[in-house]
Amino acid sequence: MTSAETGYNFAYLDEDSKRLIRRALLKAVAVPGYQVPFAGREMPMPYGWGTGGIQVTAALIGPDDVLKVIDQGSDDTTNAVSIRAFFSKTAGVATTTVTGEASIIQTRHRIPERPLKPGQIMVYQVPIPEPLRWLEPGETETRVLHALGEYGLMYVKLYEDISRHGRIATSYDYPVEVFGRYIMSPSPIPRFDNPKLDRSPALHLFGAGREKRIYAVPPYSPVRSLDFEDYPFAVQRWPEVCAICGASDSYLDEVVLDDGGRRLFVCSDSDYCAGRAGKGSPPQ
Amino acid sequence: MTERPGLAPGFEDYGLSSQRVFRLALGCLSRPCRALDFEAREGRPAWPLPPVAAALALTLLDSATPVWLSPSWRKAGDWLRFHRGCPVGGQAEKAAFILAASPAELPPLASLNQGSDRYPDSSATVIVASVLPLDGRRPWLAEGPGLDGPVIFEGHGLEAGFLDQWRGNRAAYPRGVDIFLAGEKHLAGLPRSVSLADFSGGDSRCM
Amino acid sequence: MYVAVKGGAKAIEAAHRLMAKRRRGNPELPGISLDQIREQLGLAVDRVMAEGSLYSPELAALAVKQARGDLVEAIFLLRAARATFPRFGYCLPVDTGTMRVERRISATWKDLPGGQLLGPTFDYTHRLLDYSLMEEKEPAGRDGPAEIKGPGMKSPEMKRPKALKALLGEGLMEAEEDDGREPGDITRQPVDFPVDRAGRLQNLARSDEGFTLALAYSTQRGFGSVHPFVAELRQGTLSVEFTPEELGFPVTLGEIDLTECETVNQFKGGGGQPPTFTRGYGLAFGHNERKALAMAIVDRALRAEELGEEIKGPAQNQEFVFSHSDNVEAAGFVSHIKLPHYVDFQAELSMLRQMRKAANDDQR
Repeated sequence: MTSAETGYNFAYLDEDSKRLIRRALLKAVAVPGYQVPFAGREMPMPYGWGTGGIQVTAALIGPDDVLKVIDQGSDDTTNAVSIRAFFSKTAGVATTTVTGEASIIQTRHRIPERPLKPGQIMVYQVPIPEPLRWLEPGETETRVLHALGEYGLMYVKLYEDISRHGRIATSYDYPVEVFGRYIMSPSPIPRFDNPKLDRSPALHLFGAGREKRIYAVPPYSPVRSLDFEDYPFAVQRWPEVCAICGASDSYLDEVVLDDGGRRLFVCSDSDYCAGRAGKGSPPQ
Repeated sequence: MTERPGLAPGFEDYGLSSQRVFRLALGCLSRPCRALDFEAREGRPAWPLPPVAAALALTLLDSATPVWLSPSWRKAGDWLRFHRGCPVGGQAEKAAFILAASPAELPPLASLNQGSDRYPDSSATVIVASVLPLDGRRPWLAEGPGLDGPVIFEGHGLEAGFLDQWRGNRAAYPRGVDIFLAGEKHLAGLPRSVSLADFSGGDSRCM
Repeated sequence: MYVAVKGGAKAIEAAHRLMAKRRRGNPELPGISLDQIREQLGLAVDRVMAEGSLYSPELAALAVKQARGDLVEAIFLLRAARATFPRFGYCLPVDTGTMRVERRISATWKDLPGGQLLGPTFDYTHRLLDYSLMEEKEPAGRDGPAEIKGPGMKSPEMKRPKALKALLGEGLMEAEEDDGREPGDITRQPVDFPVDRAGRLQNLARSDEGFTLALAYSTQRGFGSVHPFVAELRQGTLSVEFTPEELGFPVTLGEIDLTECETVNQFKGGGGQPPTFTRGYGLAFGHNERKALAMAIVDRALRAEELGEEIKGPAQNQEFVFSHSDNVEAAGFVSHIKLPHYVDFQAELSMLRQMRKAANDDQR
């Protein structure tokens, strides 16, 4: 199954590498939220630019798949374009920008606004998979903390936020507890997207290439954003609506219009916005 | 079956078939306890193992995965070694994959590699030949990640005593083994995260 | 009216075209050939092979050319290519004692069996710009005899025993014992700390030269005290052998150039061990002296835990060294902040505004 055009294997990765990633994915699904180490490969993109997600997608994808790639919610950002082109070239698969048409959605920093469906697979690009890393830099220690389920450190940090700022001052990559056991980084999605993970019908797979970790949230798994009874978790809201489609329920990007500080807000999810504005983005 | 089963062919197109079989396996583990259809086109008549178990073994095994074969399937050792280069014939306790011809040939789950607290992913994966009863003979109630609320699980030929073993496996979570039930034309998954309870007596408690 | 930014694909294509143009430079000048890079920028090629973890002067030269001389980029290119190459097996361990040396020095002995051989080195050059190299034609008079025969100077062809052998006999030097275990392979197995010495050496062998050099320097300045002696530094050529499954006996695959450094440190004893000399080890593809030397120092520093020494500096912390030494990983992650982060920045922005508002409301 070698691509004639590139001289590389289907979806670039060799079969040995795919197999070890596939075994890691199966274990990741069996232990939701637990970070499975794997011997990641150098990919032809830089570490930090989505190599973990790309390796997961390469291990998953087949000729029948339809791939959507987003970065910051948009199909048009340069890195999304680049990754989509990579899989078009090395796997020859169909691609789409329409959330509902995709069987695999690789993403950086967002979960689409349209509800996901059973059978869909989300693949997240993860820079720092360890939610405790900012509190404890050593992997030897954090691994023991996960083994013991000892997460007091994280709650202390969140509580310090509250005493200092009157709220939990984490706006993205907001830690979650999966299936009542592991604390997990949802990747740097805004906390706005966290509730979409809870009991989602889709399968969510997370790949960290440089840190060489894979983890998963199976469909319908309970995913709880960490909080306190008197300081419950809440998502961001905007007083504005999208200037293009008028949506009031979506995550908005702020666009600066001029030096005078005029600004407007538009949907970060380009497919959602185009769909609502009636333009509908055609499959590529 | 050929004269020398060790030299029977593998997949016709390794890349394509292993991708399809992997996605089936991933679907089974992420939506446990339901049998998904195996595509007959992946199988080859000369295989020394039933097609679903054989395809799964070809897809997942290699030199990094020591395999233990139950007595009725020992004959497949040469074939697996030839195609996948996996170490065959060591102790069951140390194997990464356990291939059993029937639930009766399955070693006690607690005797298999359970993984460690730090690395629960290092535990064994079991592939056991199963049957798909449609008469609801063994109604168990399954609950856990991948399931949208409790579902009836018909056991796929697992023994009644399996329930106690599984309770032990579930209690060790996040350590524990994961099971693939490989039927004639179907595959189902039973990851360690799923709880099983006896449903026949109307007892719907889940542990 | 704001229009969503489109056309990422076109911008990327244009960037690639611009880059190709820049790489070629002035088209009126002759293009540079891989042979020229390999022959005249050999140390660049050697560094790319060492940190790229692939012995191929040809592909390393190609990477240097394609990367426009950016060696970290060239290393990345070579690594990414290497990751897709099939593996036939592992070669037999090489015995550096059988190296055909081009250079071999010891700082611990004035003379030693096999003698000192200065070889090609920058060491005693005066770092004065040689303006005669500005001419396209090489100046005459550089083809005098490279071989100097004198007392203590043996023929380069002769095999030289390892310098540390002398100390081993006396029992003053810790012995390196082969425990018979198969070394792991950090490119094939996930890392689990603590990593054994074989794994650490594999990591250091491909580590960034600048990072390794700075770590070595830090230990010499007191952040973990390793001030070693260079027992031996040797550089030369070796055969690599491989035993194919179907033959059952080793065949020679070819020759490679290596630089090896062994350092000696005092160890005051402890943990049931008598005072003894301990060693650090460095090995790199090609002529890579600075790297091999720095690697040996860091290797020794990383043995602190094993030898019961107090951990005082980052060079002694194996998780710190192991996790940050790879320039492909480091360059990628540092540069990834060039990617758009609108979403996270927006999240921070709106939270900061809320917090400021809350603080203002409180003051009123």
